[in-house]
Amino acid sequence: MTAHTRLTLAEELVLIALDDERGSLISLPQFSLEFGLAAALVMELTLLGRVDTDVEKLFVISADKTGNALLDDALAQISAEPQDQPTGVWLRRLSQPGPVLCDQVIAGLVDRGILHPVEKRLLWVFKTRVYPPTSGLEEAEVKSRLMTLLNNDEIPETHDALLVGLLRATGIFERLLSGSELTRLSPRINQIANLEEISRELSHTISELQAVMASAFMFG
Amino acid sequence: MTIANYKLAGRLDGASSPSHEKALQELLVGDVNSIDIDLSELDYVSSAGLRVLLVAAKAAKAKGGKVTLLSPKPATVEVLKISGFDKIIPIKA
Repeated sequence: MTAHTRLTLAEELVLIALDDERGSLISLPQFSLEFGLAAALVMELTLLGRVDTDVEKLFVISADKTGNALLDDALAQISAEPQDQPTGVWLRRLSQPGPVLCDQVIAGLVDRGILHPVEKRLLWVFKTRVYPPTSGLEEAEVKSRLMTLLNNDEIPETHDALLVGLLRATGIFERLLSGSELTRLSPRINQIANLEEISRELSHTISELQAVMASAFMFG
Repeated sequence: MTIANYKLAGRLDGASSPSHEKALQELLVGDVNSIDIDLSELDYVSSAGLRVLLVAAKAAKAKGGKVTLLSPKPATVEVLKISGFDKIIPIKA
């Protein structure tokens, strides 16, 4: 993959989820980024004509490799399943690698020169690695594209509609926008996100998981 | 506004959507800036199929026209409503 290739949805999601100055991930509801990345892989596969969905299931159109290791791994898993499964099942399965999935996307962005690793020390003792943007141009372009889309009434490009769905479900809009902006733009965000079945399923899956966790916390 | 007509029948899914997308784009030439799409014989539409309609609507809007969906079956209407397409693309029974 070269630096000139358009960013994938997973790459755009991680870029936006990284704090520009600290180079580390912003705080998001538990598991939401992992599920978001799993959805981003499925979404990318739909854009590449490898899989398709309807309200009941996700199904393979072509098992041909895409040339992207993360996407090809996801596609291989989906293709190996003897029966079509609901989209939500694949969001759960593909999110199983957890933070490793995010690390793999970050590694890809480092390879492309969009992020660069920096060693830091926590409490002067523990080493940690953060990933600030190299130029910040890519993230600025994504954010600019998004804000333009949210502030007009144009019919969105499919890629952008899917990204809006990812940012809604993962709670990133709550971190990206001020309270008043969020209130003003919520109807437009929902209109765009709901256009895509995977986005609706992702929001539903994350809400369901959070409800289960809240219930487990309350009742021990 | 010059309107072209197009008919979709059977299944509109990931397998059939590339050819329909191309055909719809090719209709929007010259004075044609709007397309009436007859859905009366469309039995099934997937996410990839819905995107074909959205891409055509976006292209028509860019030319100052619109896409109108005609006579969809109840199952298609349901899919269009769940996704909010009925708020973006006019539907005529």
